[in-house]
Amino acid sequence: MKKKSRHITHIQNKLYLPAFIILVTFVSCEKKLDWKLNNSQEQFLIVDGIITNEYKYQAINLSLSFSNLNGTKKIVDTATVSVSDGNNIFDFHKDTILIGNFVSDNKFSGVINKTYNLNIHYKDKNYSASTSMLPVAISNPLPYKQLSDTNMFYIAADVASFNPSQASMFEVSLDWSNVSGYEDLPINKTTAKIFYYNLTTIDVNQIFSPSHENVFFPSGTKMTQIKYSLSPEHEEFIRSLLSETQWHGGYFDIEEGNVYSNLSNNAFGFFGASSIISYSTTIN
Amino acid sequence: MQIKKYIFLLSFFILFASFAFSQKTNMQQKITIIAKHKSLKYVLSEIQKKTNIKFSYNTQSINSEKKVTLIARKKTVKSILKNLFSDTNIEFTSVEKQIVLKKKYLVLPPKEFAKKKEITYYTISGYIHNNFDGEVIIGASVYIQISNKGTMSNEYGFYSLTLPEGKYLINFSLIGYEDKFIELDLNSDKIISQKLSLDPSEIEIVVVTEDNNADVFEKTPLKQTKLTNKMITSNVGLAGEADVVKSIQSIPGVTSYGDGSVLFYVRGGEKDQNLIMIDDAPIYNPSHLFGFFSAFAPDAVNDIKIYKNNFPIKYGGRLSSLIDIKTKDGNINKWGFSGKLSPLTGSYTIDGPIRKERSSILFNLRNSHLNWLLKSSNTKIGFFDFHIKFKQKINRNNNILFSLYSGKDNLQISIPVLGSSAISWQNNAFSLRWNKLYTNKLFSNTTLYLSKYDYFLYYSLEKNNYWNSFIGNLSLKNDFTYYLNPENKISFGISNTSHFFNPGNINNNFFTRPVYASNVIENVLYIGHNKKINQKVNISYGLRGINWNNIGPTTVYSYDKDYNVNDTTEYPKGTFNSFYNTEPQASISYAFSKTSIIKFSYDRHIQHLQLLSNSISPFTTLDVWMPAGVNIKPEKSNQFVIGYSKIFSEINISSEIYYKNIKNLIDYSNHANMLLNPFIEGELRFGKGYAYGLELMMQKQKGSLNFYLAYTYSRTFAEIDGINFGNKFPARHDKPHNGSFNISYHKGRRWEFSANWVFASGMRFSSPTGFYNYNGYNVPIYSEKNNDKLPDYHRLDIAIKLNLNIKENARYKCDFTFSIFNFYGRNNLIAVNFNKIETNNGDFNVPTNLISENEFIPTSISLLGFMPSISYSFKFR
Repeated sequence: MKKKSRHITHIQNKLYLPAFIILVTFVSCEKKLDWKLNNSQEQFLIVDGIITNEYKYQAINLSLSFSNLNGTKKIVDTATVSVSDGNNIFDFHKDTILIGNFVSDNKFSGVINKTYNLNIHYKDKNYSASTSMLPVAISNPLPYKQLSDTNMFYIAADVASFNPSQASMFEVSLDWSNVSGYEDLPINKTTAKIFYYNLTTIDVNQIFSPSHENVFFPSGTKMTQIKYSLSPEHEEFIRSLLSETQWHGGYFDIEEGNVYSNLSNNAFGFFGASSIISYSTTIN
Repeated sequence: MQIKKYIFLLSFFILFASFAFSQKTNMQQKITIIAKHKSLKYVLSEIQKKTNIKFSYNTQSINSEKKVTLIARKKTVKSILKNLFSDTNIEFTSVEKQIVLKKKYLVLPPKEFAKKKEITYYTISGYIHNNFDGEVIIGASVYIQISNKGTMSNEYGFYSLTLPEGKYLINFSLIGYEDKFIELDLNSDKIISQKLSLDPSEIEIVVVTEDNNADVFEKTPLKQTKLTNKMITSNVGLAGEADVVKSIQSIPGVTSYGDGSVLFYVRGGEKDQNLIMIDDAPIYNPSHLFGFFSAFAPDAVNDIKIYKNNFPIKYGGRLSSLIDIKTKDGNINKWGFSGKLSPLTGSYTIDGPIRKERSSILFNLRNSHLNWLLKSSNTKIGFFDFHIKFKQKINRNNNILFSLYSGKDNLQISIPVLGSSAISWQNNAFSLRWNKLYTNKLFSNTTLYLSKYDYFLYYSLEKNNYWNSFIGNLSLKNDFTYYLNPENKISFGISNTSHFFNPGNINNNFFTRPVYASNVIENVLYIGHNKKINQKVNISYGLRGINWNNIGPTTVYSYDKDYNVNDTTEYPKGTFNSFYNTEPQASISYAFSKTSIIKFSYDRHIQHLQLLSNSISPFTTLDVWMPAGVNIKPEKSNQFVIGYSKIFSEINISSEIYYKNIKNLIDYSNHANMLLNPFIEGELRFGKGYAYGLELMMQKQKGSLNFYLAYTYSRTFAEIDGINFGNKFPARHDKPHNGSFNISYHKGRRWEFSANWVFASGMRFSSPTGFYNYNGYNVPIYSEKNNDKLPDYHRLDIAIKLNLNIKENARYKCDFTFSIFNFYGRNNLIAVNFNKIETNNGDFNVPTNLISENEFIPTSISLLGFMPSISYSFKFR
């Protein structure tokens, strides 16, 4: 039995506890700071890839870590990448369009309950990871709401919420570049990608997480939601990732630490396998 | 020779009597005199020069060459002489323009008498109280000056002293009280209870002679640090609120987390390794409002003793410190009402006799009034604490004390449609104590206590849905002290405690797999012996035996080497796991003189209760207490301390060097899930730790100008399996430099000025040494754990107190205190973040749109800037 498994009923809850935040706001102060980090020049291999149950050329992104806070992602372009499912081996090659991406030589789809093994050979080192695919539960898409007295909308969900029935990830892509009045704006002002999660656990730093950027989009925005199933290890990775990114910086932080990874040999990131369902709509 | 002496004295009396009707000595003249380490003869001649008052005395009976120190500014001759001779066996009488000094009556058992017949020993015993309100006086000295024999009153004001038959002059004393001398013909066991009066001149005058009453082994600060109510209330706290825990944090060896926090670390120990007892019942969360205020109303506290090593043998169960808080008794003579109002809190006390000189009761209520700060009526924030203390003297040999403490915090918000949610926690402690004197030498205290600490997280107040964790205790213990003779004191006792836990569960079965913790029965047996070998050497040793039993029914999970669950065991009712441990301790002290002492000590402690929390917040959060058991071995510490203290005429100094190691030290896996996790024990990692340090303290507690200067250099390290690649790392609270300077000045009775400056090295934390991009997230990479530290912490607080009614016997007294917390408005950081972006209006947010090209900015969070406040205190009796 893995330690993260739960036997739980199907109830979803949210906690609204800003009272303390209101209190602390009276007596606290957050300021910009000059801070010299003890940067390391050591570079680690970063793996970012999910095998899905779509029949497609599957992709895995490889990069290297960087030492500065606002450093740029360093691309890995020479590596040997393959994925096996116990019966088949799927070789991956460098993508000529999206640098850093490695795509499978052939289209294939992941199969629910199968285990997938990733093998990477990069700079005389071998890296490996193993993951399995769980079915995704069908559910309603994330709701959106209109901001009062405006023509703008927002996703009415928390970054992460508690859902003891199943862990899942929602990738929400928004595009309003074709909406009248927004056509001439740069692409990064008219698109957004936001991740939302349902997790089977609750954390203190999640309950008291810091304030987040609000993303508003106009009527006419094209929205695509993809819901991913998460294996217990994948959920553990996401929990860990959120602890260091989305939940960090509040008044109830937990100890810092490296984000969990299923990669061997000191590589970071995660190799996952998820079944997905998607949903598209135009906001109005 | 004797005849000559009497003739000499008689001639003086006749001489003075002849002038008695014509001239009078003006002992109300005010003079200033400063003499440090001068002969008595010199001091008297100085007084004579300034006042024209002559002194007469027999040089054969009064040693005029004895060295004394006297500092008095604009004080009356009477008060100067009273203090000058308060610690001696000299008394003075005014006769016309002369003052006659003579020796008080004192006869010791003649050696010849002792030689001729077998020596018979008798015991004097009793209680020492404050004459004003009947409050017991803890730590008062009962002393036979000539023989250097004595003892001190215990925590219930009781003393016992066994001496050979003879005539004695017994001195009862404590700083701040007028000395009392009792002549006693000791030919049978005697019960002598005494009332000491507050010394009205104590704060205005300093007199220290080379004779000092208290036993050097007892009065040394190496034994314990004592905080009185006066010391606590003189400290400036947040919004003018004196703070019990903040006062503790200024003691050398105690490391504070920082602003807005009651968390503290003692000699490298963790925050859960401090045993806080209020009237012998444990308290698990000494905070209000997450730590902005401490849980104890200063008005209700009589005395606090802090032990960093060599706890009294009856206490144990924590590795790092014992905070022993004793609340006030009610006034046994008069009813009174007092209170304090500040911008954020109000504290009110009513106390008085139920039956004069027999029984008293005290009620204290403190509550917050914070809601005026909140604009939204949807939000409610508040706390209260409540003390009741009842004391009944049954007869000479029996006293009953009942004490109840209850404190609660509640933070609630209501949102339309969504409903109301809240955070709430409460400490409740009830104790019933029975002091019994079996014989003049055998004192017993039987305590029954019940305490419970609950933490609630309501996610729907309307539906009464909540998460709750608690720890509770029910205990019966019997402590005995046997005062064999002035050289030997034996303590022994037994206790039986039931501990019960809820390590955090939801009340309505959302989780079919709850978080389990076994209940526990703990049995303790202890014995300790304090022996004064001679005037130079004192030894103390003791042993506590602890039997810890985990009892079912419960479920226990087993974990493999990767901390995954590999087995589940259902234990039925009854004991399924036991630990047997001992806590030995020993110390030896050597007195170079009556004022200087060196002490070596060793002690070993075992801790079976752990607060499981990987929070790095300064605030207390969703606490989960768990017992030692199958998966959690008890933590163990060994501590070695060498200390030296010296008491100068006005100043005490002390220094201590310590080394402490800890086994089975608990740490946590990265991002451990501590909430609603049935496998919470699988998130724990175990290892060892060690700490060492040097503590220095200088203190002046007498006179109008008082100060307290403390400095600590310390280091704390840990080595935990699976953390930091198994390598040693500095603890988060490894703050090498800690210091505090507190100074107060009384200008007459009306004005009091005080300032408090604290300094500490910054808290350690892990800062990233690199980053990577995953799906648009900017993810930090860490290398060495706690490789960085926050900027140094320092803060100055000041306060001015104006006493409006300074008449000694006034029935109504009040004062205003104006204080400024963080006088120079330093931003002391509690956290540094690297995951935020700046918005157009200057706020800092965590980005959610992950395809934006976000520019991350390091930000810092600080609490509690410049904060002035005014408070009003009153007392009516």
